Amino acid sequence: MIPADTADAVDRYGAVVYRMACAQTRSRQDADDIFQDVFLRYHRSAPVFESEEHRKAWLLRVTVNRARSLFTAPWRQRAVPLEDVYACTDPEASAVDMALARLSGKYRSVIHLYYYEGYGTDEIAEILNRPPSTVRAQLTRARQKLKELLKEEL
Amino acid sequence: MFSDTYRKMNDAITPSPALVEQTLAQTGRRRFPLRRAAAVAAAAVLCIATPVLAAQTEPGYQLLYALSPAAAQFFQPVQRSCTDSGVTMEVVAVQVAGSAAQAYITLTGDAVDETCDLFDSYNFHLPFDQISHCERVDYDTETRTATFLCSTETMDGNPIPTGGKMTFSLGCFLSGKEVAKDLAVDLSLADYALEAETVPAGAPSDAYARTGGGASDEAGEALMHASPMLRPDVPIAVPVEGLSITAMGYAGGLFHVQTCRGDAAKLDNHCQLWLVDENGERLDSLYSAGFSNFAENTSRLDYTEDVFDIAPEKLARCTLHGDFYTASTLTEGSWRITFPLENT
Repeated sequence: MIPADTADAVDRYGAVVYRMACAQTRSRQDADDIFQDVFLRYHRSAPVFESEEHRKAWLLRVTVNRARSLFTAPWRQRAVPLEDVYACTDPEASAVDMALARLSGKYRSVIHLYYYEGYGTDEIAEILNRPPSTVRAQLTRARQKLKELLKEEL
Repeated sequence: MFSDTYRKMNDAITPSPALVEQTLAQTGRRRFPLRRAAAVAAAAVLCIATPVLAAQTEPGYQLLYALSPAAAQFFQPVQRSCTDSGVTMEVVAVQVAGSAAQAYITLTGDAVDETCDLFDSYNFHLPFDQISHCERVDYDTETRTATFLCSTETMDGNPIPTGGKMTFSLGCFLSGKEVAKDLAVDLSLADYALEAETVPAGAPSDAYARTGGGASDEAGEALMHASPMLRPDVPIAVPVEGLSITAMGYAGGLFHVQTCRGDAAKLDNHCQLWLVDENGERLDSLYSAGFSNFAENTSRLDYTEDVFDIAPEKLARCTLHGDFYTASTLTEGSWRITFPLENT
């Protein structure tokens, strides 16, 4: 059993949560808010986990849900993300950044969990609470879109 | 290489030490996130400046504040309720912003439990086509009260008029929902590696209508639209109460597993099935297709067929597994609340 120690959770998974929030919102300010929300929820609910993987998946799931709530909030429609997340030092990174900006959040979350966190599609389905077939279809479509967009950018 | 580039871009991203410090400080003091402090301050100024409004909205504000401090800054308390079928629905607070509206709703009563689901039977009465969704955000076991956040948005972007009235209604809800995850179905698939009888397409006496489906890729989607339906029979297996397997076998070279969901309009029982081979490898369906009997004078029955691309000789070495979702109770009623919308 993993005790719910918030400082330990922030230390181990702070970057994981923050990167996920950045990937979805593409705004450091939004990611800051989500980061705080996620760990305050963690602190308040004090969940107990069977393993570190379980704890990491829980934090990622809450992060995704908080980002989703942010996007569905009506006042969000008035806000324009500054898209200041990634510091791109070469043309390739810049092209990837531009392509990601044109993907929807649901595709970016799948891309991030697959390519950065290294999860399989079944694990992503658990985290995102979507059917595995949906995740596979979204990953396929996201790759296709990225391929098309990167052709345009490069 | 996309994956390498993406990894490098993300490696550079970390929360700032100040953010970490502030977050940990808040876990001790339970303060709000920094950017919301400004909204709290603005709300305080509003209450001082408009004492009538503050007195009118205080209880609703407190209730909403306990649930979501952030939302409390933006929502207009309503706190109107109605009771039907022993269940009280209250519209706690609402917010209209442009083409979108959100409402916090509570349901209280014996039929309400922690799995309660509004089952898409809620409605914001607006003269526009809308896209809506709803999520359960809280459940209080002592008072048997479930709280939901319902959201809607006009499809054409038309702004929702404020300064008038709005009506929110609910027709039913589900409770007693259960999930059985990764359940192995006790069946020998080798016994079903045969051609199965299908319902003749277009035969009036059979009267099965397609009700949708889903596919993992475009090839599966194309097959789904032309999918034959196996003829339903008595249950072969009942993995959980409310979901039974009523036919299995090959049709058109693909292996079909037919699940009867009962009346899906009443309980929304459903499942996701997959096969596991002798090496423990999972095989997901190529597609799933829905059918329903709309014949007169019979109870409605809904069926889902999960269709797998697997050779008969390999099927014999597989087992059937699934996640099964069921509900035990549908509570029907007519809950309807009209409330004023303040100008925003």
